[in-house]
Amino acid sequence: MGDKIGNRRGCREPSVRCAAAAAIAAVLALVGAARADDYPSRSVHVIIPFGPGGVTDIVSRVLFDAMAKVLGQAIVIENRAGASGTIATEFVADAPPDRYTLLVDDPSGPLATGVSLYASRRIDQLTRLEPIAPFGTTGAVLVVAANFPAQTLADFVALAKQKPGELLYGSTGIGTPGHPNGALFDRIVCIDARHVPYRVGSQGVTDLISGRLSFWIIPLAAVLPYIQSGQLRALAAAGEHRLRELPNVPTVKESGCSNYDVSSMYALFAPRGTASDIVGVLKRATDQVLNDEDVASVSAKPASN
Amino acid sequence: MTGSAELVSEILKARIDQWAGVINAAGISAE
Repeated sequence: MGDKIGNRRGCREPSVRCAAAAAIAAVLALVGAARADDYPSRSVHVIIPFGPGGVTDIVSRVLFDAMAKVLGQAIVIENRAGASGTIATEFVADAPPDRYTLLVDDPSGPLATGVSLYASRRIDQLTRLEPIAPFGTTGAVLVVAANFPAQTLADFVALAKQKPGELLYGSTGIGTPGHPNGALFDRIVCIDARHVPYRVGSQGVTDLISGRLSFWIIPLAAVLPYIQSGQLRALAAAGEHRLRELPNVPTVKESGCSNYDVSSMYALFAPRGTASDIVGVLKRATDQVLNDEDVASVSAKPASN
Repeated sequence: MTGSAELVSEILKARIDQWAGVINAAGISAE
């Protein structure tokens, strides 16, 4: 008898537990599905770590305009520039993972450099942000003034080696991408060029055209019109491949130097802890809008082949 | 371009190390 009761309990308990577990799982699945189905139920805020009008801002606005239509809610873009993007990173990392505050940043550039440039802030980008999807790239070029004496990158490096400390390169501020890009270039070709930070990028480009600056390693989109008008000359593409817009300009590696890739990547992030089903919704929406030729042409232009 | 979150993580991880070497060697401080 006791054994039978015991056996019965032995048979029943697992089934009761299984039923309870199944019920809980079903409820959780329904909650999860409801959350994903309802999302977004209000406007989503996307934080851009740079000022309006830059390449990241322009590409993001095209993408998120299209994405708002897919998601059926407004997407509000907020520019929170400063500290090479670290202010925006901190803002999103500290935001509650409520699915309504997202970040656009470059994991190959500012998001990565911020760890070293602002070490005292101790932001751990790897553990505090949830990557969702990449959505674009921008190639970079090493440009000089049209009348700069070097015609090739090899000539340029030879000239720089003859004049240590005399060649000047620009950036839009200490720690902004142009600064470490220049330092990395100095390192791989063994030259000693000096950094000149500008508060306003257009002023730096003006100085480059006039010859007050020697060179700038900069996203192609920022200088393509000046190259096309003949005011600036691209000596090398700063990526793995030649740029579609400048097929005759060799890469740094093709010019006889080490591999040098400072292309930018745009990617979407959420605060860590954001539900995986919501990350899935955002990932699918990103992929969907990138299938649109108009959006894809902007997100990948100017880009490496 | 399309791609995965894993790709973004891998690039971020690799570039954090790469840039740390460059920034420290060049003595760049933004603080």
